[in-house]
Amino acid sequence: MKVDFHTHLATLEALPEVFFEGQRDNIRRLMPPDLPAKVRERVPDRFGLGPEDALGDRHVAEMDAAGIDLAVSLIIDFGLAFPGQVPELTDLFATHRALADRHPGRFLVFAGVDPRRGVPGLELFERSLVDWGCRGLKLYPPCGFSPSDRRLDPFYALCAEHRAPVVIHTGPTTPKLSFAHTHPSDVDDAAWRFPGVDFVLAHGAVVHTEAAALLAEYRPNVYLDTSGFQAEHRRGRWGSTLGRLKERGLVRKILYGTDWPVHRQYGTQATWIERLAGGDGGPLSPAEVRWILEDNPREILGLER
Amino acid sequence: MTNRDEQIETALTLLSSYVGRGLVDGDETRALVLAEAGVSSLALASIIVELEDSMDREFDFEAFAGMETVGDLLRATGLT
Ligand SMILES: [Zn+2]
Repeated sequence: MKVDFHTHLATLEALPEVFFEGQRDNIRRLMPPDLPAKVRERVPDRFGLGPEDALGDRHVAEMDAAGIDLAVSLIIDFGLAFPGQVPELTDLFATHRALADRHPGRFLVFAGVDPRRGVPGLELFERSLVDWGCRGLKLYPPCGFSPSDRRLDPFYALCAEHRAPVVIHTGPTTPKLSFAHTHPSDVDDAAWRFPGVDFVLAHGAVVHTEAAALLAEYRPNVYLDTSGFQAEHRRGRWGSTLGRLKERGLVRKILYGTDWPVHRQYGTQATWIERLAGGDGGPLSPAEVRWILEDNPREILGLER
Repeated sequence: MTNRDEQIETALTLLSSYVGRGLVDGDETRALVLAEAGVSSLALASIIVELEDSMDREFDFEAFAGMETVGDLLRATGLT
């Protein structure tokens, strides 16, 4: 069973406009100085969510074309970081539940809760695990908290109890949010204190790779996902990045992730899964590709073979 | 020269300015991988917008998925 461990629902409720607007601010500063004004105005518009896919039908069609059996759909709780610009968190949970119900067996939803929500947030998380079939926790530290914040301890305790992995964003993101707390080392204290919980450093195979690899190499419960490798591939660096991870013996710690619908304008699921191995003469054997796509996620998620 | 040939020429002229050398239509040019030729994703977006402008139409967001080569770009814009 091939698993994409890092995807999102392609709606502006799940990934709000303000998120992309921040990225466009940056793009405006990066454009060559001599572009015609008309072009200068319109280029940033090409960097956004793209077409919405609230029911996940497009996503599933792409998964089918790529041979991906299962996708982890990560809820991000932007509620405290972008107040008034995202729906109520319980509504967002409901839309993700609807996604999983509409496509039985194709999606595992990971709950997203900002730890500053306190007890109501913790209760929502527990309910999502017990009653709604959520299988893990997604944390977005750029919203303004450390993944090792003690307020997360009761969340991690629930993860240990339910064998629920935690996916934690690492590296830069939209400039509308802080980049503090996004270094892999920010995860270390939590991973050390909760050895019974598996922590996945989202984008860990492509950003802060040295620090992410170090943590994954020495902490049994720390993994890396590949999301964002599309940009590395485009720059011609993915094969060598993957090679360095392999040299460190980390192939069993890597999970395939695409971050769909992000990067959609540069490829389909079918093109990305082909590029995972790093191209012709890439560093991975077919068996190692299978570990990343099938065995590693199966073990973490506790799925049947 | 047909309208389409002219548009291909416009596209290649645009691309040339990003690649840093003159591109002439042909198999070799069409097989050129954009990223390897130094066309960043930002540059690619600029090229697409400039083409939209010169052709006076708007391209579908998803027509560009998986675009790698100059040939892909010409196909995505309906020029070939
Ligand atoms: Zn993501």
